[in-house]
Amino acid sequence: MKSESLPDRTPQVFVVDDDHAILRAFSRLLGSAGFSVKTFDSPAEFLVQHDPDVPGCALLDVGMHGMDGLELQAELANVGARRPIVFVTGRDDARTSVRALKAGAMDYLTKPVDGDDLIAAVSSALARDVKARAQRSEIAAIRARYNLLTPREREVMEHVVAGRLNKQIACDLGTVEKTVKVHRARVMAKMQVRTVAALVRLMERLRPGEERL
Amino acid sequence: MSQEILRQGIGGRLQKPLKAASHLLELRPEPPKPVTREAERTQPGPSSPKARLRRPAFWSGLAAAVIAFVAAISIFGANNLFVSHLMNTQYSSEVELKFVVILLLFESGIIFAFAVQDRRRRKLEELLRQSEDRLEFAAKSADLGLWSWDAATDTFWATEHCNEILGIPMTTQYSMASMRDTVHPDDRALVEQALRDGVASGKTFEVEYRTNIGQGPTRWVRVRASTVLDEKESLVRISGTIVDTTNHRKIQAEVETQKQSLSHLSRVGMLGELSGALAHELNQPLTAIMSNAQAAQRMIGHRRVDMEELRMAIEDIIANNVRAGEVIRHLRALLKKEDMRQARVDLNDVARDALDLTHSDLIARRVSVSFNASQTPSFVAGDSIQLQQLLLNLIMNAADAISSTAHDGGMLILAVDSTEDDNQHIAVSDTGPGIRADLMKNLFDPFFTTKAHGLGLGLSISRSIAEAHGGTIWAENNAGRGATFHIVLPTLLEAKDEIGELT
Repeated sequence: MKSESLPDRTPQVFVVDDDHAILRAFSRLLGSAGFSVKTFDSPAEFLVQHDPDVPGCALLDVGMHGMDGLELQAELANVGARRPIVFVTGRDDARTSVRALKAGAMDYLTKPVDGDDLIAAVSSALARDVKARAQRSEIAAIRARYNLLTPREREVMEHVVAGRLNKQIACDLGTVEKTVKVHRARVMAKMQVRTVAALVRLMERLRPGEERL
Repeated sequence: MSQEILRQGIGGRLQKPLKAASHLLELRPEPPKPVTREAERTQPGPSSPKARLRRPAFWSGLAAAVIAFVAAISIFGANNLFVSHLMNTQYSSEVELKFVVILLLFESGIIFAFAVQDRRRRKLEELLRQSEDRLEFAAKSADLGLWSWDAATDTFWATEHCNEILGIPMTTQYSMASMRDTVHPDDRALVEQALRDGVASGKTFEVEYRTNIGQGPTRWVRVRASTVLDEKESLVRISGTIVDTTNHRKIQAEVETQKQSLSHLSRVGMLGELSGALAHELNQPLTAIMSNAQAAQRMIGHRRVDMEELRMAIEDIIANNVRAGEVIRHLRALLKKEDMRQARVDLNDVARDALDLTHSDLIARRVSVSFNASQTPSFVAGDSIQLQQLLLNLIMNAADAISSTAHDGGMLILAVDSTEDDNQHIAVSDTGPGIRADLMKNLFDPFFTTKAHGLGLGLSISRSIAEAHGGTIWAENNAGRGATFHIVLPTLLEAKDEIGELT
């Protein structure tokens, strides 16, 4: 139930703590709540074995030997793993909690932590991961469609999205309206949309700000 | 003796004039000095009263004989010139008279001599007594009582002060057996052993014991004595001194109590500094207990209860409870104010305990720890709490040194091993800034600190703990970065295992 790595898309909770008693207890608690749990007793081990493509969240201890939880968070961000993180700490240190949350942590729990709080935090982190992954795969699909466009088609599309008429586009690009119409039809086909409004929505999704999660 | 016979023969009548004459004789100049010096040279103890007694007797006797002889000659000569003409008495009666007179003069000369000698003897006896008084006064001033035990008569002679110290009446005559009763029952074996050893070795011996006299308070006394044996190696006399050490002991005990209090206070202060870390040490098992218990609760709610998982959860709850209890026990031991206890202690255990207590504090300060335990147990005789305090001090100091310079942390190395001469050695090294050369010699002084909020007691207490364990502590700068504190403690030999019960 807990330590096997599952090849399917079942979300995993990755617990990292250098205290084995805590590892076992959290693993048991989350297991009893129906989560699939994988435990690591050092940040280094976690980094080596971590597969960013496996959905799930990380439950990290703040105070660990060698590398602490916040450093691990930064390291995960460095390698581009956008995994929701729930921190658990033995010290109620406001500065550290602010740093962690600013760096994108989902939650910051203080030991001794109530089981229900822990389960709730992990649940919402997992939900966030599921949602983020869905969004990311959707965006990836849009980008894949976008990548099919030729440079000229992209040019035409920019103008279309900006709300310009075919005539204006033809004028701007130094071509005839008919050619613009052909490009426009191809863009709509490749992007798999029927209306300009839908195309605008798709392009909004590709904006960098939307990609953060 | 001869003096007495003379007094009987002549009767008491002559005594007064003789005494008066002896006063006149006092005016006579001292015997020639060169002779005295020679006598002094031949006798190694010039001030010895006995030597002085013999010489004046000889000189005064000689002087008296000379005076009597001169008197006899003069009387004899005068008779020849005048008496025979004036009194036409018979020659025979004249001779008789002369003889009686000469005899009388001769006798009186001898009596003079003895009288002078007697007076000189009294004077010297007086000197001797004064000398003895002075000795006793000096001994008393030094708070020493003097005593002597005669083996032949089994009697004690003691100075007044000796009796005062023991609290026994001057009038009672003590034998060895009755003196034994003045020793506290618990210390009798000790005193007897010291006596036996002293007599057997023939050397000066010393023993400190408690007294046991009637209703009086128990006092501590220290006796120093030497034995005198005759040529057949049998005991003649034991004599020596006695000192009341009750007050000394009381002061010593007070100093010890003060030291313990200070050490305890510093321990409590240190725990204050460590409180965050200690809270964490308690939090870990509590968190594990909570999570395991809530997991078990959830498992019971499941349709199919996994009994094995449930059993393991409960086992973990118990284990973590024990762990939390350990932390509490540790804390309580450090907070407790107790006298130093002697037991067999493995320095590796002490080091591990100290590192456990500081574990999360060191993590928070980004100090990574390397602990090199010795291959075999490093046993010393001592108080594990005090030794732990000593190590906690050094560990906290090392952590302070590291965080005083580097914000990215540093390294603390704790090593337990044994020295070449088989003592036990602990070294605590850090990668801090090291110790300034000019501060090195004051490092262990009380109230010496370089920290803004330090009391400067940590290292001074560390040193007194090391010294109380018969060990030493010193510091040195590392070849590279930082400093190392060394503690060397005497190894507890396996043969002394039973020390656990000693206090």
